[in-house]
Amino acid sequence: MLWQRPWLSRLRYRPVLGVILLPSLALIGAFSYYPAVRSLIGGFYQWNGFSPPTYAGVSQFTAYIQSPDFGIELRNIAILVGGSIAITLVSQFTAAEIVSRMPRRAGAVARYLLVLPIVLPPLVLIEVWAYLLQPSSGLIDRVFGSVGLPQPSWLGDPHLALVSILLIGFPWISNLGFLIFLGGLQNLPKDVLDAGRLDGVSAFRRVFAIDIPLLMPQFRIVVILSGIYAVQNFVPILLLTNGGPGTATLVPGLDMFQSAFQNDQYGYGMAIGTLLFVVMLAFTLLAMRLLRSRTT
Amino acid sequence: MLNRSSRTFLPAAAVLAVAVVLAGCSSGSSSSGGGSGSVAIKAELPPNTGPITAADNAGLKLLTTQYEAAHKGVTVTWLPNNTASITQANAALESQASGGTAPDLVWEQYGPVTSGALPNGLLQNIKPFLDKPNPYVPGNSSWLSLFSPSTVPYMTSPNGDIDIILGSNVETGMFYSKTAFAQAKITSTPVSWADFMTDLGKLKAARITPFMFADGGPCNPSWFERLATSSLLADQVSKFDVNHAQVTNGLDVAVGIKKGIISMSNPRYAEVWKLLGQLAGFSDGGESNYDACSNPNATTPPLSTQALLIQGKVGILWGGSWYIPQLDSAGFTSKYGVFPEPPITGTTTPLALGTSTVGVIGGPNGNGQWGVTSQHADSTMTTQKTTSVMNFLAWLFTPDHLGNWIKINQSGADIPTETAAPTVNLPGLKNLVPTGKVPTVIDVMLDDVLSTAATNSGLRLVQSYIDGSLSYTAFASQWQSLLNSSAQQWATQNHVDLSKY
Repeated sequence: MLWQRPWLSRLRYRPVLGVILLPSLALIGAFSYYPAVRSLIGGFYQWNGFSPPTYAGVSQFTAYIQSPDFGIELRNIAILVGGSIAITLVSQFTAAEIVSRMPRRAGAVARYLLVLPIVLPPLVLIEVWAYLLQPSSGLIDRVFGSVGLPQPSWLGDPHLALVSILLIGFPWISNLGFLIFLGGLQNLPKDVLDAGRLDGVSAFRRVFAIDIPLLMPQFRIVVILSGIYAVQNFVPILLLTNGGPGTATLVPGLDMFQSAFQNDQYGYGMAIGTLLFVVMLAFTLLAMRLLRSRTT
Repeated sequence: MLNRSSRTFLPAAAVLAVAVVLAGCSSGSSSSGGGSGSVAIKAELPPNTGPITAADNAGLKLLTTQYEAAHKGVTVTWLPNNTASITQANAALESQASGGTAPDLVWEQYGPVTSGALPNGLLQNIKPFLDKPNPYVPGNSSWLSLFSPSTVPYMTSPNGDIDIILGSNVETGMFYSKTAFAQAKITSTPVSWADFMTDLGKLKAARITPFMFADGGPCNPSWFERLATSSLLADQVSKFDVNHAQVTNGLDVAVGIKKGIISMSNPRYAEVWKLLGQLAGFSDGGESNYDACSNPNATTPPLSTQALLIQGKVGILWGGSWYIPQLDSAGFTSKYGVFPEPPITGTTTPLALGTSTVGVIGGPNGNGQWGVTSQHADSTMTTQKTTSVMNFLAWLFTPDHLGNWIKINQSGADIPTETAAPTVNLPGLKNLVPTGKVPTVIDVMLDDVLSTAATNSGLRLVQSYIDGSLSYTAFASQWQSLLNSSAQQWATQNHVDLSKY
């Protein structure tokens, strides 16, 4: 009976308590939803950030799609998203498999060591890689030089710059994806694993026959997060190459940022942002459909 | 069901919550105008000089303290200015100005101000103040008369207004390693562009990387454009220089493009970019990692080029007068020499006019460049406050004061714009300063003349051309498209009918 339920449970059902949420909702509305909605609308206006905006219809969307950089940006971001997803899945899943099969104490130590670098601020990581990739005086070029190998200009060579951006964070294990996979592997149904063991499934075969199919929800979330992160995270490019040399590392996110905050084309930047939002939404829906769980 | 007290409480709580949020959102816009009889001036420091207490700003701090002591009720708050470029600074300024919260005195450069890249109405016209005598200089007829004659055209906007005051010049030049020159058996510095190319060839033959054309930032590319265009179009500039100022502005360039003079089909203009191709042939690779204007302590690209000269990795760098104190403080004193950019003569190309280009690239872009914000950009600005800000500027721009604080701020690398201001004769600096009349300076694409967007796109094209991703033909085609579209956009945004020209 209702009067017998604990005091807190009864309170939960009182709508008046929704008032407590109002400040949070107001702040989220003001700082998250309002800017997002404004940027969706802003794509239809030309605005230099100072003068009154003028309505431009869809012209800024079409201008971006017809710009000579659009195809280049599309290619670059496809390489970055594909590369990021591939290296994330391979490195983080492999590391999680290895750690999950280690003896308990060793596994715990390995887990801490691999997870600890997550606390490193991303800017510090970029600074470290800026030093590693410096032309001729960077650590990588010094090592190459010491063994008589050519010393490429990692960030200044148009053929290497995008690959160098992907290199940042090598070996790419210390990431959320590793924890997601590890959590999934540690919670695999014991009866399925026992059945596999009784059937004589080898450790290698178990990965493909049991682990991957059962971890499809984890793969889905990691693919979606990696893809979105690769599209959104243009900070390494901004700091290390600024989209260059030429357009070798130019991506839509950077174009959006530079258009709005450097070129005073806020409306154009918001149009790129809106298109990015649509593409990321489509990517998420596609990933959720393609990577839906095959097991019941 | 809610009881009576809850029904009255809910809307009241909602209103209170919204009010709290709104109050929190608006708490940053407090008044800074000061009370009756008091004036609080907010001013931006020169870029990357740290806070007002930093050693670089000691001169400014002293003058400010003296001014505040002599003007009771006036306080000046200097705001640190940690921006990498004028583009970044202006983006931040416009953002502040759109909310009416820009500082009273903002760091600026004449390029964006006189070209129209900075929105009209953001800065005030200070010419009426400059036409009157500087109250701190006995016997002067007008404040403007204190400036060197070559400075005033740089400050003047196409409509005759003056929205910016300029305190000092910087100059550019070629910095070479004496050791590298000795190894390549180069005994004297080049006096023509052809000699320069020959010397680069000698350095290459001596297995020394001759040069670094740093295109990771706008400095070297925009300098080259200014140098070569001003030289090769010197006899055609009168056909499109409708503004008749020292430096071409957006209107001039748009007219030049419309008339087909600034066009890749004009052999003179096309020659500019062919010469860049020749120069880039002597450059070390990875140019986009470096910028000639980067801080020597930069750890992320674009890096400073100075380390390349100090470590003996290149023979010649294209730098500015600020390199002199910086190279000296790095312990490279007496190991380098400097020479001005040599003129392009008929030996290099039959299209050359032999125009002296000393001083063409440099100019009043040193320290002490400020604009006074309008009330639209700065809600605290009033007529009375404008008068106070200009009075404070007059104090800073008293020739003795100007010379002394600039000497402290840039270790003597900047040359004051006021003729009576004391200067420091750093070794080598004198070579870079023009002795005669500077020809009309032609800025086209890479110095924010038409728009920052055009400059950024132009820099990307130059990078691709230099690193070999674009052939000359492909570059020429894309550059011409950029010229056309940028001129058209400039005309549309500025409501200018180019068909009239």
